[in-house]
Amino acid sequence: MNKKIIFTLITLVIVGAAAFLVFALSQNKESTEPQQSPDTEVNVESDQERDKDTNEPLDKRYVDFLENMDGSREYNTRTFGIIELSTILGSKINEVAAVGEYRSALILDISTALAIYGDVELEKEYETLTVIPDSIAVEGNSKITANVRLGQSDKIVPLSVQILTTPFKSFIPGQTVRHGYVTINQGESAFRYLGGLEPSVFNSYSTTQTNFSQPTVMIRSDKREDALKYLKDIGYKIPDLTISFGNYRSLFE
Amino acid sequence: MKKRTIFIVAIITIGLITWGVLAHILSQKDIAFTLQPGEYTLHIRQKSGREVAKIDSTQTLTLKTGDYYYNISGEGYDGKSIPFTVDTDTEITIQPRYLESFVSTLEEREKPAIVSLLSQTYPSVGIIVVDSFTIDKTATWGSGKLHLGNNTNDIYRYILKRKDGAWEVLIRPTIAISKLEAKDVPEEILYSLY
Repeated sequence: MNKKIIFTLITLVIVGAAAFLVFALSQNKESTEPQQSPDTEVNVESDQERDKDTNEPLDKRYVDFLENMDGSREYNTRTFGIIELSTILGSKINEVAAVGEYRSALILDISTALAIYGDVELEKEYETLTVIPDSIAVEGNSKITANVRLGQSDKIVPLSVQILTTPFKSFIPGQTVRHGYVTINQGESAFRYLGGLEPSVFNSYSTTQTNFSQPTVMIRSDKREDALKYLKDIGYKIPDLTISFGNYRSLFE
Repeated sequence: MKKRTIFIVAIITIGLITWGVLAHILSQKDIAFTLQPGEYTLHIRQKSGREVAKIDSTQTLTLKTGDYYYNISGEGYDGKSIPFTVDTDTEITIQPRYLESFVSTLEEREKPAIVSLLSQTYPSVGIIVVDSFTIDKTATWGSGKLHLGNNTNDIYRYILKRKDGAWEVLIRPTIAISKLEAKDVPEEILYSLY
């Protein structure tokens, strides 16, 4: 009789343990189901249109424009791949809605950014910086990404351009306002070039970028609110920038 | 033979009961509700609408796995229902939001105190004219624009934070506040100043 009770108890324990094990395993299975990972896929588009385009002669206007680019002439570093970039944007002009008539100005911003990056940030370590044509991609309709080769080395850094569009074009009648906010490299090594600042000298205030590791702007004028409005109108969100004012000290400091 | 059948049935029954008890125990999850300060009550309801708990201070509740809603009640608060799912032990922070109409009333009521706070904090700058004062829906952040005396050329932006029921100047009046110097301030408040 005692043996039967012991046998029953042992059986109960085993059945209970088995039940628990099965249940625990089913719970565990639920919790280890793959979680939905954040969408980190980069939307690199194929450049079939570009292949067609590169067989055609380049628009002479762009060749003239690039040859007469003031920005790149001032720097020892030369930038290549810009013509391809311009061609690709040309072929995608409808897709990249934010480019529109400002393509030339945008290309100038990118070229200038690369030239300054090579000269100032990399201290002329490389004579040339090349935008790799096959890496050029458009994200959404207001961002361009590409890779840039440093000199003849294997070193490649990412470049991204946020296209900023102003609804207000009356600052310089007859001229286009520039809209490229260029970032080269990333993280702490990121270099940032704020496009669109130069035209403001015509409006009795000047805005210049003073630091390329952060988006910093110096405003020199008594018309501080007007200058802020200008920055806002060309597409910058003011709090994203670190702004200082020349010849000014706040009474609140 | 009969005894053996009874024995097997008993074992299966006990096994099922054990399973049921374990399943019940393991389906209970601890949900820690952290209530941000305010005079309100938090209602927790099952998806069917049945209220399972009502709390007015931070505490941990044991809930069965499943879909729930919570909403808050109290004068001026937005009582919108927020869905949540219980599938693991977790923490939920409740940040009550006020109704827009109530926030407008608060702004009107508290503006004189804000003018006084700024004038007392910066007594040497001259006459401070507060052009605007806005409170966010959590009534935690206050922000706005001001100018000095007759000088409307320079517009200063300021940001206040409510701490222990009183406003404090978080970002002193500045022409252009950058995100770097206002890291803790919600971006929408910063952007709304330009």
